[in-house]
Amino acid sequence: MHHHHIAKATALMLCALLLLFAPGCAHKERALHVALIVSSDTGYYWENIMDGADAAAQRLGVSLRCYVPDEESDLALDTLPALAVADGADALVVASSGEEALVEALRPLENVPLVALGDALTELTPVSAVLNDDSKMGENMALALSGRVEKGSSALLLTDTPEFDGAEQREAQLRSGLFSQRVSVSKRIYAGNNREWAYRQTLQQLYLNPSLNAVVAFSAESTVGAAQAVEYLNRNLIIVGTDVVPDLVECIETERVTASVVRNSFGMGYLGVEYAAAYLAGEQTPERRTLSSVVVTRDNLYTPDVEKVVFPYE
Amino acid sequence: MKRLSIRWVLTLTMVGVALAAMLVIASVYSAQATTLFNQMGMSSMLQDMQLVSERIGDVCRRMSSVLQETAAYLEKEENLTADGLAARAYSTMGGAEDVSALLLLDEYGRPVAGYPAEGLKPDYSLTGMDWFEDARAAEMDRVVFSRPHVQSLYGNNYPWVISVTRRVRYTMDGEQYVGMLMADLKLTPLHEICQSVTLGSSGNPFILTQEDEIIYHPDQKLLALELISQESIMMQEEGEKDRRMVLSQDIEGTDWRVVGTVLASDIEENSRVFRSRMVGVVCVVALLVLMVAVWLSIQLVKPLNEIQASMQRIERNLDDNRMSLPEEGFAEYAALSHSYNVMLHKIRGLMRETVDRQEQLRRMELGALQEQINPHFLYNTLDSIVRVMEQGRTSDAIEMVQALAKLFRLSINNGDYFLTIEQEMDYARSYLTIQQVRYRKSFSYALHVDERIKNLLCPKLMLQPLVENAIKHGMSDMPGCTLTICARQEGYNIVFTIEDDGLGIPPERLEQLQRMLRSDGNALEERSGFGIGLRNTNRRIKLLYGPQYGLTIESEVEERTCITITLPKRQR
Repeated sequence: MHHHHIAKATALMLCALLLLFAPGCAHKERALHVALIVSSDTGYYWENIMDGADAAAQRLGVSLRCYVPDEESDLALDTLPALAVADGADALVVASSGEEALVEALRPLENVPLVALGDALTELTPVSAVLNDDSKMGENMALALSGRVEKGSSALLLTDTPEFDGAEQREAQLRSGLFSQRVSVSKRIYAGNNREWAYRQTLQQLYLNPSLNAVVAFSAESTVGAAQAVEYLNRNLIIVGTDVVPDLVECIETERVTASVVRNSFGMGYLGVEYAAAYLAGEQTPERRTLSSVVVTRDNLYTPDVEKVVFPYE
Repeated sequence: MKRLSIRWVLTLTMVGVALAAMLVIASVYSAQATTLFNQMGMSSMLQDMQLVSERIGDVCRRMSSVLQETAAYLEKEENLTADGLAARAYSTMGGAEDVSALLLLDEYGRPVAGYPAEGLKPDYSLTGMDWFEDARAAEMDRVVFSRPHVQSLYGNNYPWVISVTRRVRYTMDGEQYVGMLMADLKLTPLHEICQSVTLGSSGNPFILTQEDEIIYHPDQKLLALELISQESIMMQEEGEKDRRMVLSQDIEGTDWRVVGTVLASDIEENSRVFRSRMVGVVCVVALLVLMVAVWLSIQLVKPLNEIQASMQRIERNLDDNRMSLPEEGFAEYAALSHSYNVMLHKIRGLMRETVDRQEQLRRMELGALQEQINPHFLYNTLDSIVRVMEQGRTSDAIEMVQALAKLFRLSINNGDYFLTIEQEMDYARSYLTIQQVRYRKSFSYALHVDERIKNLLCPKLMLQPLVENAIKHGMSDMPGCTLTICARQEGYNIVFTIEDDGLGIPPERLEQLQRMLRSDGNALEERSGFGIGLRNTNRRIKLLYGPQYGLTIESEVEERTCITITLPKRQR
């Protein structure tokens, strides 16, 4: 009888010791797994989103996996959400150019927390949406032309979306601004983020329309392509671009590009992952967060506030 | 109520005492160790900060030195050439990988000469840039460290640098100029120095100016893009449980300082580890003490249990003289066993004695009964009654028959071993009545009993043998004698005296009898019935009441004989 009591007491003591020395084992938790789905992995905008997401994942200790469509391996954009969930993603951070197929692919995954980067996915009621100030961008682009082109001038628009359906705020606001300055959009061309394509299309348009006074481009590469075309023809056009790459910096310095509106796409990627992690941790996250863009010109290129956006620390 | 076993008491006491002692020691030393470890933790972090400060100070001094040497060269050189300065700059920079460029700028920030000259933008001016304007406004010989900025002098290459500048005078083509000597320090060495030290879990130190502008921070990009605020890296965040301390160390030769934030939990980490290990040690020692206590209690209690089992066996077989406790094991247990065995031996002796005594009493009783119904006495008495009746002494005959009847009734007495003193005196009286008739009233007798003791008890037929002796040996041959029997109390005792004024006992015989009575009757000397009666009565009394009670005898020849019986008082 007494032997049983002593054995029990010894066993209890051993259990207490085990609990004491193994708290690490007891509290070890699985790292949060966040999937970042992007429409592309090339170009200033997409690369910075991925860089920002990666920085947040490292800082917050989150496991991040990026999903990019790949034609070679037959990996379509609309298959990526299901693939990410199958891989064990706790939350999805999705940046798209508004592809309908992606929206439809995300619709059945309403149980998985979604953070939308950009306004293309807001109809899916994500837990948080990190947006560019698209309206302000369009407005700033129009303002950059203001006073530099005469009334009745025409502008070439190099876009990064195939069609303008009126819902895209940046273009809508740009067109509205141009309209108020009596500047018409002579041609809208989808150039994506392709410098070569933008160069050729700009050359062609300059041949076809010698009265063209301005070019507005919605990506860094298309802006540089347009500037190169204008320089090639030794024409004097006002070019307003978007985002920044080293060649574009040189174009701004030499005033071949009047201004570029730089988006905080790094911040979008960073905040997307931060909000996803916060949501999974049960914290409150903002429904919407809009990040400001910066208008970069030759005059402000090396001012403290602008150079840290244009030339991010590595 | 259930009693605690020795094993439990021993185990719990040992563990309790050990735990209490360890807890007291642990708590005292833990408090002291906590203070010591906290001081060591803080001291270690301050040392790290000092080290970072010194290393950055070294870098800055090296940069100043490069500028001062080059400035001395410029001021000495009377006809400076671009190639000459480039060569000088190249040799001055030497293997300094930290420096990306060493250039002489004119008053408007246009490069004059230096290294590397390749890639410099033509006609590019730094005028208007805040950091250049600050440097241009400085005194002639003062070395100025700019804020981190993008160096825009080179095409298609935009590194983040800290420009270290000094205004200089130089002579070129015979003309004297005032210009600016500029060395661009890469951020890499600052990054490496700051990354070489970790201040607990809150990360690496960083560099601020005295006005809290950031020179270097590991999260500089996040700060620049306002993804984290500068307040958050310095101040206690809302909801942050841990206390945060800001350590600051000035960097010599600059207006910079190394800043580090330290969480109180990081400083207390060592003491926390120490405490948890101490708790672990206490638990391990407690477990060991428990095991030792259990083992020891088993070792101590096991022989006790064996002794207990042996005692129970002995208790069941008390008569078996072969059974005893083994006197082995611990000294205390051996002594205990020995004492038990001694006690057992005495108990067995007493038991034997008691059995013997009971046996003797039984024999005495039988002897008394045998005397009581002595057929000679009965025959003689009946013969005397017949003779008395033949002589026509009817009343004497009646008296004898009544006395004989009383004698028998009292001797039976429901089988009791004791009579009251009154009954015993009645018995003696009846006996004397019969004997007086038999001896034709040649003696007289008298009986005196203290009224207070009449109801006390005494052994049955105690007086009769003594009375018989007195008549037979003292008075039968000497007519006119008197026998007196008295019963009285003396203190806690009852004293009977049977005294006659007959022949008395010769001195040798008296001495023999007295010796016999003193020796408890064991030295039996039997020459006459007188001795047997005395001895039996004396032994009965001693067996019943103890050696201090019994008979004494005194006598004077032809004067008197007196036998005294001493008994304790016994109530019914």
